[in-house]
Amino acid sequence: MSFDFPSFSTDRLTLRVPQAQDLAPWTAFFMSERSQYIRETEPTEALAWRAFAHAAGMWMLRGYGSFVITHMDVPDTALGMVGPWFPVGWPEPELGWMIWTPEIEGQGMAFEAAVEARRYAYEVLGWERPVSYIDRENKRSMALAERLGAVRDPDAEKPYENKDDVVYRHPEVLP
Amino acid sequence: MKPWLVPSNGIPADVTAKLHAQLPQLETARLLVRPARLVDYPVWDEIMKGPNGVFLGGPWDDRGAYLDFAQCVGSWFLRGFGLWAIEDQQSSKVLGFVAHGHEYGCLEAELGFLLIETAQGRGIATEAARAVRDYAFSVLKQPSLVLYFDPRNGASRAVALKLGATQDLAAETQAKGAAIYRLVPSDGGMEAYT
Repeated sequence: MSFDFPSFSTDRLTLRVPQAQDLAPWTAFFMSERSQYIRETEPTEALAWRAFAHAAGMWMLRGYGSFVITHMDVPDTALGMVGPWFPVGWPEPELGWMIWTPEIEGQGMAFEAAVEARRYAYEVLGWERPVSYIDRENKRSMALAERLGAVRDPDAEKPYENKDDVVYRHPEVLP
Repeated sequence: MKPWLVPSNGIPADVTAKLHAQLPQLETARLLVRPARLVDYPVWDEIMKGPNGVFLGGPWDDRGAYLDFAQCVGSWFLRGFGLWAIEDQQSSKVLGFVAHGHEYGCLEAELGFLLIETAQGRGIATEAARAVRDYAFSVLKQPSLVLYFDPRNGASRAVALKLGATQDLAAETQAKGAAIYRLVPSDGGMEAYT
């Protein structure tokens, strides 16, 4: 079954909807230390499946969801996820990002992907000033939020499972 | 209503509508069996938190129940089949769900059924599950379907038998506590099921 979903290209990357083949790289990420900030318990492959299917289910349930990030010329190999989503327990919709593989770190790739996904949230979904929830230990992710022009919002309500998160709020007008 | 249960409007609502228009719908004598949507969630929540919740892996809290719903729906996307809602053709009321899934690590696709209390005892689960079974075998060409349920759940066992499933004692020995029944396509063609 193939569906007519949005996909975008930036200078170096493609953003597309999740596919079954992304499960293997997602699971490798989820089972590793790299996922420590986005899970609350010890990882298992069963939990990895549930979390990924849940993220894919967002597209079916809400008509938008997280995009998978790939190199522009290698669209089959997922490197991470970025985008607007609204999972259970969140007080408001979120712009999130996860880089699954260290291979694309330190090159501004996450920034490039997040800028494009945020543009989609603002221009197509009509979002205004969305939040990003970030684990207070996750320095790289906070640096990305700041580079995106988001600022700490100490008054924002947090997801009930993530009381230790820091909340960043994106600017009203895109830089 | 919880904020994450409020359906989208505008462009994302169109995306969802287009998506559902591409998915199958199964009609039976009394029912419309169609892919589950966000607006069906309250029925799922009612079933999972009701007296049968313990048979369905419960007790369930808000988060667990919704994560399970979303991942069953997400299977449409990842596998091309997933969670079906059972709609009464006359009232358009959702009476329950047929869960057609294939979780990571499982060797084969699985069929499950769950109903609201007032819909039980009228053959609704059998009618809906039969339609999904036939779709799985004749359209998707799945080689088998496995049914897992709590052995104390006599209603599920009765449906399994009416569907023509046979108990897989070898698998049950390894599965510690679940009743396991198996459906395979009949050599006699679809008529053999009805």
